[in-house]
Amino acid sequence: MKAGSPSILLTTEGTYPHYGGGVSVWCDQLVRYLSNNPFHIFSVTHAPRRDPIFTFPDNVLTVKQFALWGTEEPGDQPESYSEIYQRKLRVDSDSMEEGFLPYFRILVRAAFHGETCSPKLLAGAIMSLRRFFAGRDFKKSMSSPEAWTVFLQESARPGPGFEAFTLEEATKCLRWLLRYASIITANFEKTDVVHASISGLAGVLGVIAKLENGSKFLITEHGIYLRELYVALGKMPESPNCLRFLLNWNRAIVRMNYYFADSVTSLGEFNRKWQLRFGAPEEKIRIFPNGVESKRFYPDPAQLPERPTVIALARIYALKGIDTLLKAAVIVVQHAPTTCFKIYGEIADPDYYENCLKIVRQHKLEKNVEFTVTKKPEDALRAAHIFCLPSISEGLPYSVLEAMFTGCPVVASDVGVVSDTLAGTGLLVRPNDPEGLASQLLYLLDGPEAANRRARMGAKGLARARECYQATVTTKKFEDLYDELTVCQPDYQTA
Amino acid sequence: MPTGLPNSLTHKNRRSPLDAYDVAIHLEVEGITDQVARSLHGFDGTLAMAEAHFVRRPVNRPKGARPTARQSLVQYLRGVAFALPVLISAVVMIVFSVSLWGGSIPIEDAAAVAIGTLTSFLVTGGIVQVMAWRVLFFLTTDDPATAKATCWLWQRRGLLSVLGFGMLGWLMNGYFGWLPDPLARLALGFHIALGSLWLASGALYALEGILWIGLATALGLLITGTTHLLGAGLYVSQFCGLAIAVAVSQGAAYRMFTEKSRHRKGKAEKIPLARLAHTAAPYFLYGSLYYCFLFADRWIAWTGKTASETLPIFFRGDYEAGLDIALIAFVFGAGWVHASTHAFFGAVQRALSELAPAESGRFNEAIRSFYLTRILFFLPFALAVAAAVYAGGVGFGVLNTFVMRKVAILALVGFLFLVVGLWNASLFFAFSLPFHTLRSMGLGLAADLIVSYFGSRMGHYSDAVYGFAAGAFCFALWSTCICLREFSKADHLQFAASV
Repeated sequence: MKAGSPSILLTTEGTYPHYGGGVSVWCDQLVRYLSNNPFHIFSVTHAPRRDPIFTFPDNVLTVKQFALWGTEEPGDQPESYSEIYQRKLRVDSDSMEEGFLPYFRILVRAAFHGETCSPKLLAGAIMSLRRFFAGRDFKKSMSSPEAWTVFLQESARPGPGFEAFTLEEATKCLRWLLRYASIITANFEKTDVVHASISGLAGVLGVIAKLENGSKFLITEHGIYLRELYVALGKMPESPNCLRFLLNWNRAIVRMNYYFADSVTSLGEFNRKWQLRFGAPEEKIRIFPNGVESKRFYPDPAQLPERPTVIALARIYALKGIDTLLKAAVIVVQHAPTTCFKIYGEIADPDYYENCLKIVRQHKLEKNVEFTVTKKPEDALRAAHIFCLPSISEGLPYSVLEAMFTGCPVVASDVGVVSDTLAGTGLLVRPNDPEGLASQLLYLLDGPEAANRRARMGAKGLARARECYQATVTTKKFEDLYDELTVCQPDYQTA
Repeated sequence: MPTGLPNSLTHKNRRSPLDAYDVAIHLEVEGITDQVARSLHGFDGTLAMAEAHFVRRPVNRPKGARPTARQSLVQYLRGVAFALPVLISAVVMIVFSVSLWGGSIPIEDAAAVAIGTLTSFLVTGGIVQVMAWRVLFFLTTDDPATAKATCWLWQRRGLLSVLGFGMLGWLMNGYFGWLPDPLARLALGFHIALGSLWLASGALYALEGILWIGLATALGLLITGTTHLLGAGLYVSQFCGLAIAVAVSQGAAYRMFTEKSRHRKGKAEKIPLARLAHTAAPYFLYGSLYYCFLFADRWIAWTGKTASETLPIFFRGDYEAGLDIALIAFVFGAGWVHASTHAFFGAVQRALSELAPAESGRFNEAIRSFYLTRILFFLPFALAVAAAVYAGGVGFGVLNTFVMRKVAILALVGFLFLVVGLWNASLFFAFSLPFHTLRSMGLGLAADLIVSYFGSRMGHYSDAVYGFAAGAFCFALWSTCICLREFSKADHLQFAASV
């Protein structure tokens, strides 16, 4: 570490260092490459008691896990039990009337009115509640009869788009709010910069740190948090009122985060478009793509097998579009029967995996399709003639960059910023379009010219990757941004 | 809506969209990028296409269904199944005069076995409750690996307590000379063997492995009966039977945990002692108080002298027979507790889904009224069961003395109230109000001790059973009053308990 380098609180949600995936890879690269900066990691997780799956370099000074669910007492708790007990005793009607209920009502209104809620008002309420919870118990206050009454009053006149609430919906929504709002109680290291790897709850710490300590606040979005939330809500079995409540709460939080952020980085134009729609100020957004380690991902034609091989690197769940690839494989195999499809990835959704296997069995693809896992994606890519990304939603998938670095031609869905990344060096298809995907795969597999096409495409991709997506270069941009942010004096306004 | 549009616009197989962004994102997921929206559909982009097609649709809310008679019966039988081991043991004892503990044995031996049995319940009762509380917490928060590790931690702690208290009792017996050596060893043996069984059964209770508990009990009884028939001594047979029951129960619990945790390894939770003491106290005290309440009158009856008994603690066969017969009625009551708790929360759920936030008063009224109706319907049912059990006991010649009949009648009354009290206790725990259970049960225990003691010391030893009936009455009455008071704010209670 270099003296004088800004200290960073890197906040994550459902990713580094407790879960795998692209964002985690990016975080890992960031802390390793920026060895001059001392890092503190704050990881918001779904459940408690998870072990980190990454090892930390020396410049990672602290790692804290904050579980939203699965704990009896939500939020950060003092070490001493007597203090916990004292905090519970300090929650009484008088103190709640003054220091809790007015701000709690703002929180509830934010969840009912979403983006129409003023970011400054919401941040002010969060800071006031944080001061209240510094000496009083979070759970006892949030689940008190007074809080319940306020919530019932507000749910009796919810914002636009809501139907009439039921008591069941009110119960569920307040229970959710209690868990999400627990982030207000979080204790974290005081640093020069708070770097949120997502604009949801992990970003709230940036707002708090900015208002409390004058820290600079930076948001880096890989997938767009709200956009992914919309996709996730499509699969949730809850009532429309509950879904709208969840959405509005997150919209209010995201707007507040964008409002207080000093800078917001985006992977590409597609993501930037959505960030603007969700309220990010245009002047704050900068395009910072992800990068890959070229020492690890490089071409080696000697590893190519004789059998034509198409690979996908993705965890097995619906958003990754593996079923689309399998349906395309049915068509490809009719024209190129020896083609082998290898799908490397852990099973994230067993039901979806079972569905995929059903497609394989139904079309007798057992000899052409293999599901497997690898800890060495570089070897898998070097042993592939084509890399395929059949996803229906992505940000900037690392697998596409890794394929480009290994000289493997890419056939990908036109999702997220894949199109910007490939910039004509790979083939694009519409998501959820097996025929289109099969046609592009056959373009690179079938016929006497196919090998030449692959070689040309792989070379173009490699050249572009080396020019634009070297991890050393992309992470350096963040080091410069940290310096740039911390050179400026604090310019925030107290909410 | 015209055909040929993407699913995002026809809402086929998906919920109604929340807004135009929702439609736009799902259009993109289906491959309608800005370019596609422009070239194929004639819009400026995906969002413009979504805005043109977004229509808010009214929500169709399904009404909460009432449980069918069959579902209620299933819940009732599940409740009865919880008391299956007690039922199996009682029936086998009455029919074959053999059990996992007790049987046709000399009166001095019976006192030793009874002491071992009672102390095993008293020592493990609280620990089993705490273990079940922690295990259920981790199971319901989808962390079976930690549940498993925590369960074994409490099993070890439980076993250490059983051994520790056993040794302490042994040493104290050596000093005070309550029981002569062979009897003390017998008591210690049953204390350890039964304590181990209750701990293993506790793990299965938490896992809802009710049938495994029944199977383990049945197997234990079979081994006991078979080895005894083959010539082994009764106690040797019983210890063999208990060992098998413990092994089967532990094996079944281990297997169930392993299946649930999918072979993942978890770490037992470490709670600082002060926190553990405070948070676990209600569960521990409930488990301990319950068995104290259940056995207090027996203990007092056994220590009340009527003749020149040689031991300070003297097993009363007639008193025990009356209580055992009444226990059969309690099994049916346990079924009612389970079914009623299930029905109660079904009613809560229905009212929640049908009433608006402004109607919380109506909700509370509906819950109070359901609760009262349920109790009122229980009383004739419980009286009918009690009458049938008593008639059976007399008819089959089991209750053949005045003392037995008197104890049976009062115990039947006591168990009737105990069932009501236990139902209230289960509601208190479900609503995160454990201290109400402790208060009402504490009051019941105090009444039990006072009436039992003075009854047995001023009259016949069997008058201790008045204490049991009086204590159960106090427990039921007090807890019912608290329930009625608390349910005037049931809307908030159900929320606070769900956090």
